[in-house]
Amino acid sequence: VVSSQGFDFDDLLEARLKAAVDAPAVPDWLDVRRRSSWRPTKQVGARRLVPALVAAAALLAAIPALAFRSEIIDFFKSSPAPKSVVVEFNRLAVLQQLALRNGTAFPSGARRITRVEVDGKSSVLYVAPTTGGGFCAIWSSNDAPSCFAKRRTNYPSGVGQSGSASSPTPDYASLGWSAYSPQEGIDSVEGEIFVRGATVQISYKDGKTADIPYVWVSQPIAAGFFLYSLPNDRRTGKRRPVALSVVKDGNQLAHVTIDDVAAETKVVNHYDRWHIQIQTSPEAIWSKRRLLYSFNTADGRLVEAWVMPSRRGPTRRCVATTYSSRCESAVSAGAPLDLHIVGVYAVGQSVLIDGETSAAVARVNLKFEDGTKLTLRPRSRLVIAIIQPAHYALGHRLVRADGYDASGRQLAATTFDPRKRDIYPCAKPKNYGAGVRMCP
Amino acid sequence: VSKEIVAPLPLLDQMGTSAAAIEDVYRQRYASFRNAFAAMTGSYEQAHDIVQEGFATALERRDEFRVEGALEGWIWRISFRVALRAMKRPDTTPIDEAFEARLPDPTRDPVLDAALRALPAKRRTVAFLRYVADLSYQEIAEICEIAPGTVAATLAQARSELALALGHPSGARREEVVSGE
Repeated sequence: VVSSQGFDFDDLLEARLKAAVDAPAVPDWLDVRRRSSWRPTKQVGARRLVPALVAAAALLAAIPALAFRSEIIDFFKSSPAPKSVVVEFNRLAVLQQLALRNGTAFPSGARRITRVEVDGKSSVLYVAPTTGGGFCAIWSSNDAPSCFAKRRTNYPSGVGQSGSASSPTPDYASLGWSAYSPQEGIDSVEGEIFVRGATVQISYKDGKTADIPYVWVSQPIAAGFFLYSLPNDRRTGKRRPVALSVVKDGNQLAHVTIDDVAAETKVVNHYDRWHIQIQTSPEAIWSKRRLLYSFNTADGRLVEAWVMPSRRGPTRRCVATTYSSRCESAVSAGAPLDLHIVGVYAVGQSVLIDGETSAAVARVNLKFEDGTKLTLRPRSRLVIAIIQPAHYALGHRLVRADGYDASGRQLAATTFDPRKRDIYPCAKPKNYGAGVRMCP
Repeated sequence: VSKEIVAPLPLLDQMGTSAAAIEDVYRQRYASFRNAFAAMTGSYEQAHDIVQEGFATALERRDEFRVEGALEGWIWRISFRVALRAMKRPDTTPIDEAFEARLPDPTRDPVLDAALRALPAKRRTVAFLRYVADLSYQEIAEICEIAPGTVAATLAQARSELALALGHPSGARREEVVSGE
């Protein structure tokens, strides 16, 4: 008997329960990553290169100033990579083609180069040449692969924060650092060197330096690779790393400074009136916040935005929203518009435009591909608005924003690329091959 | 060397893919997780914390996961263990007996709240897992470590009692049948 009408009641009960339990939700994946003790990389050492030293891994961790002689690996004598790695490289190839639009493709010639073992976990380096004369490399413990087309540096987006090389010439090296849990400091440094015989050095805040060992892979790769996980006492504070350099014959070929991410990304938790956790920099004076925007997206997500003063003085201010927060100097009169499209996932399936204007900007006109126009009025120099679903499809997307002063004089313009992928939601992501699916 | 590598090394395929898959589950299902645990704990704040910890634990232990198809269920099980710890319950407590599931804010639907409170704890938990967490009978069975048939029966009992308490015709007809038996 229940089943004859139970279906209706099922729906009714489900809807009623959900309505009674549902509340604004603010997922925070970065916080999950911070909480996870999983790290992209661990300690140094290439077991195949310097076997005797692996037994002394703990010693290496404690004394990073030890220097190692670089080892040379013959690419063609290396083991072929397993099929799963080839699949991953194919995926990277597709992503790189999409990102660089240079048509580079990867042959299935991936090789296993070396393995690092730390805390019982392996990190294996795989390298594959590209048809364009470059290569792609990935450490199996790391989500952020490095791809190089004709030796030009290119950093595919990683997770958390990462630094990038500011090499005098990018042909010499690519250096980077990562901080998966920024508040815990720099966890590892890694990079690629394109000059044989060079030395990689890490410099610390306390003035000490150390040479970082790397493995050199022969032609057609012709590059060196290193992955160095910093000891815990070398990640933050006065003993933290401050720079990476590549030196040969007394010449500095490449250099990158390493930010004090622990200090810069320290956050303070607050709770708004809906008990949603809002994180701000310690710089933000939360008690003096002003609510400027409060609205729901089409899929029911709450968007709220506050401005508040900065403890660093009146030239800066802080903005906190239910999806992000920032503290920065006021937008200058010279560049009066700083607007960005906030794509899907930040706030459910909705797309927002978010940014700041200079004080002189009285209105912002948005123009869409289909000719539609929309006028926004900044509130305390802050602009946040929903881009309606009617503008998600190609041919209807936002292409331009113009800022005007109170007299109607145009002060600035910002353009947006409507063909940028994975910004707007779509019913069916496009298959770009090799498992890469994105909304066009 | 190859043998040594190949066996433990579907690292890219299983670990890397699983990290992305865990993130996918999180992005698509965060609200269901949070709401379900809000019902289990009575607090949205604590529920958020449990979900964050649950997914963080899943990330840490992602190399222990082997069956892609059951990823979400695996994360639910991990999250429930986190919730047990958060609620200071022994790890061995059966999930369907461990929580006093309820509306986090009874004032939003006092009638429903009263109807739910009248249910035995086990039926309430299963009802929340089905209707708020959107889990299948099979998934509920795996999480609660009971047979799918038991889930179906428990849910039918809960549904029947709630229909009666909420004045839905299916509840009345059920009562008629019961009284006529």
